Amino acid sequence: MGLKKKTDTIVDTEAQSDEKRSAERTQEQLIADLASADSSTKRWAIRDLANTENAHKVFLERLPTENDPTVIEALFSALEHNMTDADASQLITMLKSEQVQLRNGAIELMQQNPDLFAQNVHKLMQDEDPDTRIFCVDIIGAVAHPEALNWLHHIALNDDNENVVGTALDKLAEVCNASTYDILQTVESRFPNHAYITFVISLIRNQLGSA
Amino acid sequence: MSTATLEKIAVADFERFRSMFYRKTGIHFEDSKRYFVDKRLHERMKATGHSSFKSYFTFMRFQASGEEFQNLVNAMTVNETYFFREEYQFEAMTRYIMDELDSYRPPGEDLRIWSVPSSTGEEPYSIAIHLIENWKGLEHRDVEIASSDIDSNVLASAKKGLYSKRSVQNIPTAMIKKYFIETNGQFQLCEDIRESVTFSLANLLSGTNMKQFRNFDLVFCRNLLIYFDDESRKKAAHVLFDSMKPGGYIFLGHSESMSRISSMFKVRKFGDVIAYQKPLAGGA
Repeated sequence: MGLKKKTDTIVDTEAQSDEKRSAERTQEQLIADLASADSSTKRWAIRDLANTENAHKVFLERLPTENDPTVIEALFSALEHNMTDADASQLITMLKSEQVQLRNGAIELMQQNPDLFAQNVHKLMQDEDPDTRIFCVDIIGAVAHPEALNWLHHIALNDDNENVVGTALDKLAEVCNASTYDILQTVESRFPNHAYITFVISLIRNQLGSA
Repeated sequence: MSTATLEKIAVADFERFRSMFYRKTGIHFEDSKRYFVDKRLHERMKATGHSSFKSYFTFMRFQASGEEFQNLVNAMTVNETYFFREEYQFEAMTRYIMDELDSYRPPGEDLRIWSVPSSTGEEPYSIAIHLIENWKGLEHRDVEIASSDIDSNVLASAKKGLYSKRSVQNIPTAMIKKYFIETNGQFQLCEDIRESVTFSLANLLSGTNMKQFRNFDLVFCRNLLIYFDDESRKKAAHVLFDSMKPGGYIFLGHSESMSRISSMFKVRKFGDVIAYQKPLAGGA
């Protein structure tokens, strides 16, 4: 017993004999592997499928039915590159999911794809579900897009839900500039007796040096 | 060819190089690293007889053997380390983690440790010495130590096991006498320890390459992810996760945090030491 001395290779023989890789791993086989009971098999299939045609479609279809958090994380990672508008539309439907990891994954991917998000932001801002609109504000708060500030202003001025407006103001407290000052009075008059909104508006004014 | 005859690396060339190098290795050079990158590129241009970046780049990208790309990787990676660096993690390994791993595995199954990047071997050899000195479990359990790096030059150096005084300065004198032979100011690691580590070339972001690295119980991946950008870090974390057995542990460098990269691992604390564990039910 003790430290093992050098062998010719560290390739794991057990893994090697279990593997059905390279030539045997067709796209059909890999897609079938996504439904495997073994999470490791699923993650390897995701990695091998990632650069194949229609991979995003396959991954997006898989996401709502996947339960293993490690596989969900791998699926979202594989979607990070070359997202299309169609992918984004499908991803946005996950903002309504009851599954927290799906919602958070969708928010994160949208934040990483500002241009695709920009194409969908108005649809999201008008969604009938205030929770979805709050997620939209969360994305705006972290997205690197030149219109982000204007979108937040628009929501603060037009959304009727106090929670959505409160979240928008909360984000504005981080990213506001002098142009924000002009909208504060209007927002204040829309929600005159709302303690949180009054508090954030005061915070923003302080930050803008005009309290 | 003298350095004076080499063309300056233009901004567009730097961008082109940076983008290619990132795609191939996951290593991203900030603008602040421009001087470092230009210097190394000029060294490689000079070594291969190319006076312009464009001709060098074309040569390197389309060389069938990929030898020059590997030379470039070797030149661009940082390989400074020393024995017993961040020793508190080795202590946590022998005091807590090895016993726990030992309890998970059936009798007769080896425990497998992977040190990546190996650099010039100080880390995997430190692991070997620490285990011999401090873990009694070696009396009933075999341990395999594997170590890998993206840089083929450092792997060759690691296998030789020859170190400067600076490299061994943290090792207690008694242990230096026990495991090294000093010759002309250099310290040669004894064959017994050198034989206990297997070295191999590995690129964490190469899917094909990484499929052979599997079933590790304990991984040391310290001060590597800091060179990656967010996306590559996440990819590397997934690769590392799948290289480990359920219940296995991974150590990162003291300035790195897996929690900021991936939620796949469980955070475990051993005194002041943080390690990340692949859940026992995580599949492998």
